[in-house]
Amino acid sequence: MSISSPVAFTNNPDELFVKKHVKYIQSLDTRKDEFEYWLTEHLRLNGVYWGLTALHLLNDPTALPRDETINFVKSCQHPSGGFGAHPDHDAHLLYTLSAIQILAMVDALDAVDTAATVTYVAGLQKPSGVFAGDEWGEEDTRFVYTGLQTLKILDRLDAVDVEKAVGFVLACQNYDGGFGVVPGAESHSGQIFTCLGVLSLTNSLDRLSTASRDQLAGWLAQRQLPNGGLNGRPEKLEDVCYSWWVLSSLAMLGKLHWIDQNKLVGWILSCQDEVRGGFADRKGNAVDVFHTVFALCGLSLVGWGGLKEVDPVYCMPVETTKRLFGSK
Amino acid sequence: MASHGVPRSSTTVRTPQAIQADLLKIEAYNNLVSEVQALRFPSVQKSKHTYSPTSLSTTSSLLTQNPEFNTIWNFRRRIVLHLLLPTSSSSPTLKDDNDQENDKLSLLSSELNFLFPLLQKFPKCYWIWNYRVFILQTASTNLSLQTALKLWKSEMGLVNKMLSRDSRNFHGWGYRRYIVQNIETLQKDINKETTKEKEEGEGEEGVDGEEEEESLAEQEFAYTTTMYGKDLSNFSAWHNRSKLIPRVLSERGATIEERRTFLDGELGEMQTAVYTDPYDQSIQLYNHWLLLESCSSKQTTSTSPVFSLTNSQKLETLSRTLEWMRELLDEEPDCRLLLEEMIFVGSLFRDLDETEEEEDVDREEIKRDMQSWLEKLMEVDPMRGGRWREMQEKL
Amino acid sequence: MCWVDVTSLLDTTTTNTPNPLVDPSRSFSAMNIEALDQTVWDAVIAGTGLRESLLAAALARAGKKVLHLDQNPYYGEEYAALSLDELEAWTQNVKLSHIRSVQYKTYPVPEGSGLKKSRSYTLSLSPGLLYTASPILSLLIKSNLHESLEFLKVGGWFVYDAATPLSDPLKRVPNTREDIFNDKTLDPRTKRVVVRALKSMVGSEGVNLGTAATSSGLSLQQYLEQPSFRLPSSIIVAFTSLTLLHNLPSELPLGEAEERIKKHFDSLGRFGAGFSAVISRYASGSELVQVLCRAAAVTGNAIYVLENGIVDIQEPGSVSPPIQALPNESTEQGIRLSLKSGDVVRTRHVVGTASNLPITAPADQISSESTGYWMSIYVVSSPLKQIFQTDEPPPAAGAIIYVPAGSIEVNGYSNTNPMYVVVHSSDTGECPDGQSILYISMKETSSGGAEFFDATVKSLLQNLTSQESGADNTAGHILLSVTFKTCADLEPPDQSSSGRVHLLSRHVPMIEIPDSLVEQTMEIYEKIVGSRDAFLEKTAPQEPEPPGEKSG
Repeated sequence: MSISSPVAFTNNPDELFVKKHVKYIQSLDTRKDEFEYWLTEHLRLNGVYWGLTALHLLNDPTALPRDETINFVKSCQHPSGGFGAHPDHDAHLLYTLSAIQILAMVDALDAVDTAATVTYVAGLQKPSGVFAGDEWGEEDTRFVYTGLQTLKILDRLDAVDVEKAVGFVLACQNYDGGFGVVPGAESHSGQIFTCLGVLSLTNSLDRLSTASRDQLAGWLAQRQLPNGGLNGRPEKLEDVCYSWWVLSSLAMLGKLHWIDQNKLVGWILSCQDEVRGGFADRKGNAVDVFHTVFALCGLSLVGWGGLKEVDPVYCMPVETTKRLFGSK
Repeated sequence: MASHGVPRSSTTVRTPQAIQADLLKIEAYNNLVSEVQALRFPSVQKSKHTYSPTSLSTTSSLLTQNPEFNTIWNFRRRIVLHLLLPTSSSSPTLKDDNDQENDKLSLLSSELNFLFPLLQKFPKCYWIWNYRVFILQTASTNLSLQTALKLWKSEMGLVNKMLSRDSRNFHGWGYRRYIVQNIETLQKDINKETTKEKEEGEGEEGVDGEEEEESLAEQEFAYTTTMYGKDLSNFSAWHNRSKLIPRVLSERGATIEERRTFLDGELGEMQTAVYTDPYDQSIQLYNHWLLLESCSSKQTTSTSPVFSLTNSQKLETLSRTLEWMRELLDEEPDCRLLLEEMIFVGSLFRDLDETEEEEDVDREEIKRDMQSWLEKLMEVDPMRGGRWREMQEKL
Repeated sequence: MCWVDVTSLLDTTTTNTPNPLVDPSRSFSAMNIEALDQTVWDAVIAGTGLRESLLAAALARAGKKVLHLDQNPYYGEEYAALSLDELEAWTQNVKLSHIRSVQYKTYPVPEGSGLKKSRSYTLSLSPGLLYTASPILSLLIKSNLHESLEFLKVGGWFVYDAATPLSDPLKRVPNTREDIFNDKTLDPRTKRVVVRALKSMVGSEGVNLGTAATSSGLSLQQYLEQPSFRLPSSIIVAFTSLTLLHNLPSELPLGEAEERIKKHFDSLGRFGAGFSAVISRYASGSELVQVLCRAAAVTGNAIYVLENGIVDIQEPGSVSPPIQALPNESTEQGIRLSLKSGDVVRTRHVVGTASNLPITAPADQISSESTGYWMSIYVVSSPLKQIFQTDEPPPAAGAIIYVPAGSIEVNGYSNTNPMYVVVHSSDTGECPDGQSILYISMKETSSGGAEFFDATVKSLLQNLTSQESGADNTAGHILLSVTFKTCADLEPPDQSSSGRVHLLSRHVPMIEIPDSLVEQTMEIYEKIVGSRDAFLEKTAPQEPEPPGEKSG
């Protein structure tokens, strides 16, 4: 994956509070007496995906009950084939991908009507190649990624115009080598991840010139701040979720060694809550499952802590992607 | 579930009173949600429409509390679309076109007003921005061109306000580009109509001066100048500027000479900016692009070249740049961004073909300098040492 | 021993209760005298200066019983807001040992453009500037007292260059990188070193001043003239002006200057873009005093009495040797105070400055080494609109003009020391429309003082108002000046032997209301209450507030 000389990590694996994090993830669905729980119903399916991925990396994949998980995913499917965040929520590409990823990880893709899902996703591609998020038409390179990854997992990339999709993504490249939401929009690490993800899973990374890829990798390496953490774009604060968006992008470009991995690990670990478990966006803030999974993904990518390997293109365990796509 | 910037509370256990208060809050909220969901899924027996102004205001209460609840925004969309239908008018008498238009405008305007305080409170919420876009798109398809244009134009005021509060809000900048696009398209359509009317009318030649300016590129370009004048680190402004330049130059009908003059102006401005703060990334990135776009030996990815410099002009620009950068390095020997740029300029230089006029420049010297800059860079920027070592191997 | 009762000089629409603070029902005369005798106050505070008022509010909110007196018929002491007539009376009657050479001067002007009636002016001895980063402001905000105050922007910060009549004599002091970037008069290299110098003093990523430099004994000028900076003198002067210190750049200690400059930059942008300080309407100091005293009064724990003071203090156990009593220990007897009104009260603590307490303290004597300052209040007949303009709304109501040494000439001599001119517009409510107030301060030198002020103001009026358009085509005139000499704050005095008579150091208001006032107040508060926790926080359960009062 990455061409680098072995990194001399200065942190010990026992500095990762594995048990606490597992407990934290397991507790998520029990917090019904917290207002926040109800306010985030629209993220429920995403939350399951984040939690499950984190558990896989922590090598405790069964800590969430498999049957309940599958049943919940099923309850979120619409007749159209798309999935909502929760029963009674509208379908959207973002939740559809999470649904398919969850089922892929627990190896239960046959539990739902995937043919309908393919129809749903394919129906959202626009003439320009971009995908809309749902029937209401918001266009974003995030949705190109979610749409294509969903289809790739279901082995149905043939249902859409992949070339057009790639073309759209390439049109989003900017003066600094990065990618934005739509053509003309400024570079942002999140969008860079999704665009590189699209290019990687369609085997079109070579459509970017070497110079352009180096420039982008350089831009990404600049995200590392003196304290070791990563930010999302120039002059912004570090945030542990960029340990995923930036790091996986660097991994896809083969330039993980262009940042100080050891310093990053130390910084990521400082975002843990050693009392309650979980990771926060930065030290001292409130934890949540979103930042927890991306912190763990970051640690996994640099090979620290004995975590299971994560696939930088799909943000799923390599065990899962190997099963789906064979060794690459 | 995905919170940013929320401080951790010091107490791990809530007091019984706090839990009680939370439970009440939850109950009230869930009641509201049930109410809205019931409106979304009316039972078969109900004959009453759920797409009514009452449902609209019920969703308002819920969305004000939780603007991330995208499903409810979708519901609201359906309500609005329904209310815009002519048959949904409560008045039994038929309204004339003007009245209908006014009714529609009034509904859409009140939607925009509803969104405004929400946007101020949650300026980074995708769903709110999206819904606003939906309302304006709906305006474009439901109102006359002129009315729609007025609505779009007033959005500039909103976006100016949002960007003056947070000039790095990429939602704001994206929205701004979108507004500009739509205003230009609408203006073009209106002009086409006006021209057609003129032709059909008196048979006179359309007078250009009476047409409204279609392109906002110059105005937007000037806006980026204002924005970086207020804050040099405004990456979003520099980015937008980079996108506007090709268009502005082509609209001006700039000759190659004029483009050269423009380039020199930009490079001069960047020299001042880099001198003012060589530690700033946004300035470095923009300057980097200017040099790459103008002085690269390879064709860049843009469809047509923005600055068509000859080989010797490129060499001259690069050596001039290197000269002032060397002087600045004397002042700031440890500035990693500067060192990186100088190596880049050096590499651009070496990529170009040699010319006969190259007297003062010793390519070997540049290579030696690049090596020493690289060594210094490895010293002052050890975090990115992996990259610099790779670069060293290539040199 | 207070001044002449000025209220008799005023027109009859004014009453003897200068503000709604004093509830007549709470005055001494209305109280049951017998009950008074039995009350042992927790603290009797003499003088309603800023520290005293802050203390009163904090103590009252902490549930302590406070009797707050003032010898004057008005509140505020050194921060009092005075009408024109009150100011004139003050100049005639002031008997403070640290205020000298007081002069009240009116000027001949064309008909109709002169001074308006006395009550349309609200003047104080100092401009009352507050940095937005000031702990005073954050304390007010935390305790919800800020809502009663109307803050106005102090916008422009300028250096005045009288010598160049052709170009704009007012040069804005650069606040940001962008100011420097946009300054066409500086070449690129200078821009670099100015930004670097700024960053090194303010302390941001890249270059950082080590402590070695600040304790090196260098002056600001020496530091900035070093080879690593080599700043032009115009920039050095600009940086000096940000410190609000009256020393020459060559005599300005680097550490102090750096601290002040840092404070300025820390304050930028806190309440809005482009400014670092605010003033309150109707004289900051006075308004703060009002808000604090009122906060104390509404708790029901504090009583206010004007035109009264302490004439005698008798500490308990004056026969037996004084015991270091703990602050919380209750001494039944308490300290016995005789008041000017003839009343006798008992209290556990007494607080006041030397001028308000009948004790001889070493602080009463002014040492010859204390720095002297000339200070002045000018009223002019021009709105000086130009200096209050800002990029972002709202417009400013305050501005600062720094007049460098050697720039004003009088009788062949030029000013040895720099001057600060703090301008208040009529938006402050402190003077009528069309006029402005200028507060000038300058360190004393052997070669004169106040005559430079007249010349400076005339020069400003000439150079600024000639550029104003519209009806204000004529240059403004000086209408009034009040000048006096004072000296800087002195060292806090030693405490009395019993530790229950707390002597506050003499405080001379300068340009800004200093942060140290909070610390001084908290120190005494801690001695009385025992800790600093919940200082000024509202008591819980809350005292019922009178109807109509702001709930904060």
